[in-house]
Amino acid sequence: MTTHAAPVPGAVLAGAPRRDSLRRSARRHRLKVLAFLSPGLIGMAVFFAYPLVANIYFSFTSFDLINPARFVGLDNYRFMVEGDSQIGTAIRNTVWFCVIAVPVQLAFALGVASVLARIKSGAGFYRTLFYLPTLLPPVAATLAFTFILNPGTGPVNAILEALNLPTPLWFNDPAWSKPSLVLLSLWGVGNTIIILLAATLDVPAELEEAAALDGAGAVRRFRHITLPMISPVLLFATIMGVIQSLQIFTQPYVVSTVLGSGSGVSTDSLGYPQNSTLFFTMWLYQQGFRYFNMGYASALSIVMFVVTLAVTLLIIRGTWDRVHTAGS
Amino acid sequence: MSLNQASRSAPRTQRDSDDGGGLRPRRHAKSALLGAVANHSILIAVLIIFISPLFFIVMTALMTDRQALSSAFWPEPFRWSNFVDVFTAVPLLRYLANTFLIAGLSTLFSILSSIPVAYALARFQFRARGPLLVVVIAGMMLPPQVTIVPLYVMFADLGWVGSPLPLIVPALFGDFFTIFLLRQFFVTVPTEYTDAARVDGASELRILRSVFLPMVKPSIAAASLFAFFYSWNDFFNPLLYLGSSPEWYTLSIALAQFRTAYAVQWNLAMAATILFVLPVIVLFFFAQRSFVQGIALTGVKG
Repeated sequence: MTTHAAPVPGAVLAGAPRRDSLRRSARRHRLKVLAFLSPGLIGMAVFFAYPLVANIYFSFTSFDLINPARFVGLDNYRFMVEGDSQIGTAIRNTVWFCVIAVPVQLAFALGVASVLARIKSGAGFYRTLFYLPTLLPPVAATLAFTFILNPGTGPVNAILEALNLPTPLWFNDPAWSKPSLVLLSLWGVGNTIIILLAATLDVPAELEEAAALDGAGAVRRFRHITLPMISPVLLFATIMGVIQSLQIFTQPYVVSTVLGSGSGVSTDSLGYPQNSTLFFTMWLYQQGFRYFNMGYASALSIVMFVVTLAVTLLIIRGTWDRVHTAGS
Repeated sequence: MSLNQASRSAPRTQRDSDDGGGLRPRRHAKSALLGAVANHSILIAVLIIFISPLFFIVMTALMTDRQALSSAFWPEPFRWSNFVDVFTAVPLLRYLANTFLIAGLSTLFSILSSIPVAYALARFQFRARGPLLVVVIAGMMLPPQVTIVPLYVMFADLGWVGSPLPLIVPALFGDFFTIFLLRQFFVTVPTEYTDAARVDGASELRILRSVFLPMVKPSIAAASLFAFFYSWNDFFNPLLYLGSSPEWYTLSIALAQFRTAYAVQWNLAMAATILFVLPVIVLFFFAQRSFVQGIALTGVKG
């Protein structure tokens, strides 16, 4: 008891030097944190924050990389709305792709994941094989699809013909080129399958069993238990799918250059056939890095930035009430 | 009496229900088996369609020029020499070396520079931690096109366009995805060992190097794999910075132009495709488990 009381006056006496050492150790802590973070902080400043800000400046200029940038106010944005004859096509194609490809990818991934979640053995084996095409470099996957869907030499139309089914011209037909890209995008759905499978397997088995005892069939159990439980992951997959679809570039670029350039000059082939695969990022690339209208390309990328943010927020706000957050 | 009767009838009802119970599991097992057969059949059917393109790629890569232009499925004869010819048809060895060099260096650099950042975000308490994590996630999710113009101007001013430097040097300063992935792994590691080392008076760098890193080797391997695949597969950045210097072409750029330069040689194009894909698939099979865990932890691939 007495020993308990003794330290108190001592602590009061030692207060000042201890506060000093506390402050010193706090400073040392801050320096340590800063030292560990420094590579990342430099990277974020130079390769992320600066370009984001500089992009706004460039979008108000006319700049071709050779002559110094010239301030032109809102001219780039005005041209976008009034003068640019291609941007409408690029926006329409991009919206089409987002609206069709994302739901198709999610439905397919969800279907595969929910069957995979129900089998007792071999799930790992199937999962690996479903994931395999996702590993392929986009250029390789696109080249493969261009060949497989190629009318005349590719196997798909040979099979369709043997089955007496219609044989579309796929990437060579403006009406079929975007659906062909959707098919190709389905081939890279392995990530979504893996995260949806992990989420489905995390649904507590007791919930399913209780519902089954109450007489709920497989479809109702899926709709009222599995779906709400995995909704946060589904929301995440939707956002990632939309963001990725908004920036689709490699696949249409490769298709266009491989099939569209009989002449060998690839500039005119972007968007082949008949601009049906001219997407927003391809137009940005063409403006910025083929025509070197850097100012206009900046304005286009500002639009892309704003649209990406807006769409993400809209999806989150539109679905938040329906997303199950308790316990996750 | 009635009590006695009740107690006598009780075992019987129990046995009755027992019989029913004995039958139910059997019926249950039967329907479970049917269900399993149905599930496996669905999966196998979808899977065959899903990976048939891989089969067609391999078959076409083994065909003769003329056969590759027909709609035949099966090579006759198997022309294995396509895999040799493709090296003379295009400077494939050079592109392979370029791609390995760029992907290898940028992977090494981004892992080395991202480890301390991820460690700080996972283990240190500081006020900016939350906001910083938001910046990392935003940087990971935003389309690269959003920063591409100023970056290109910066690299053009430095005279780096046409060299692989813009694809390698930024990796020295951390990579958003690698930081995020490593941080997700790091927060799952128990703190006891590092705390003990700290009590023993070890410096933080020493703790990271000799206590922490040996514990997280699998996650470093997974993060390296993601970084390597990202760089190996990338098309947009190499196209921008190397598109006009054929001596630095990566496989992505070379392959995208394969058919235009060499007319209609689908067999060689597919052989080159296989050579492009092979390293990725081999690496994946070696580190599959931690790779899949990485996808589940972050939800995305690089």
